[in-house]
Amino acid sequence: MGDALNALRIFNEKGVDEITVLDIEAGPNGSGPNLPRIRELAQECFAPLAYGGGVTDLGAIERLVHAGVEKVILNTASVENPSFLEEAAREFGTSTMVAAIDYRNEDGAPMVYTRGGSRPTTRQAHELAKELCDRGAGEILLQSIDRDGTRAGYDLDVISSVSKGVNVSVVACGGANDVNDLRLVLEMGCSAAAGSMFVLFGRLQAVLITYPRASELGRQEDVWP
Amino acid sequence: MLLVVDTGLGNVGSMSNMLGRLGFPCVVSGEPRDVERASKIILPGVGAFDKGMRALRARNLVGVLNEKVLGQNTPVLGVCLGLHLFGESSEEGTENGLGWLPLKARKFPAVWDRDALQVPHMGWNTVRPAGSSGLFSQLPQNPRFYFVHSYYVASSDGNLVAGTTEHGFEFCSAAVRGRIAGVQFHPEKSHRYGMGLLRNFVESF
Repeated sequence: MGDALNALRIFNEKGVDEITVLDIEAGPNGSGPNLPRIRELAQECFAPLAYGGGVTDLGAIERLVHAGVEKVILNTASVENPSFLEEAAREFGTSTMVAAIDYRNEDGAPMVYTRGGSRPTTRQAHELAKELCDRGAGEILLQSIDRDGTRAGYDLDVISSVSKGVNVSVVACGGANDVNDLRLVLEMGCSAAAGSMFVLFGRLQAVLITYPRASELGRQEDVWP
Repeated sequence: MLLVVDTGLGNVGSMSNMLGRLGFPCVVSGEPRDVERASKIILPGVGAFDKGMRALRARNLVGVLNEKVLGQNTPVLGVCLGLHLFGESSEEGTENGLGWLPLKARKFPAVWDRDALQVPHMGWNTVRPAGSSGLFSQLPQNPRFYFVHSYYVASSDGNLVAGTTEHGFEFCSAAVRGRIAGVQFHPEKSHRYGMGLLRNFVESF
């Protein structure tokens, strides 16, 4: 898809309300957050910025916030050590802390995976989401590994069961194909995130970064004088 | 020259980039001699009140800022902690503020409860413009901005209030007196709305 900075500049122009950057190489065995790079992205970002990838201690969260990040996403670290999330939420506020949950459907159960989807756990998405919220997650980023990049539509059953068990906002990710898919998630009272849908377009799936307008999602547009 | 004051307490890059994007080149500096040259000043800020005041003092900026703003009537915009520093004091610390506006920063009642008021107040929220400052002109009715804060400013002088926001109760989210303006939210993180507000400050203050 090319450089994250360019993508970010295009989303700026479109008036996106929040941008999430996930560094898929910074994970538990990786190098941790690339602060100079994140600082550069934060400077370019005219909307709140969420970052996830390789965050395993309170010091890293403090450095990220100082670099200009508004929300910090924990995945493996909070699943393997939920008390870390609790400490982080007390220190930085629940609204700073997002818990990401990756899962695969196995025999009808949404089984949670960590370490970039490589390590199975015995937890199920909905019960883990509830625990992480009780411990201070201000938001849940729910990612279906099975549907990631498939454009087969969102996993509405699991999204619904997770969101019913928590009273924070649930952002669903994985499977979006068109604006109607986003609508279905929004109608459940959840938020919808997408990757491929915003960047691949048309018969040839050419790279074209775009973003739906509020009115396309059935929401009222602000009127600019 | 438009100056963004850098006290080293956070990333001011998005502020200077947004100004550049609007066609208002700015200087980012924490040097007193740059403050002296400035024709308009923006004081961003994140973090704790005392740390902010100490950072201004450590850089010898208090005297020159007082001279510019009170002596020369140079327009100034405070953002988030910047607004708090314009006031007299804060429940967050023991330092005295710059004292340009009769404001005191108070803490939102903290409750560790999902269903109650969340502190910090964080996220997009609307501002109801008040008064005739022009800070919100050419924006949609009740424009949206991005907030991150645990303290808000309260004033005995209602004439200062240029905008209010609801978070459990209605608080002052923008204050203006003469050429001194302060906003609680982050225009630099509020894309089109923030750009509109910064343009209003640069062009009409």
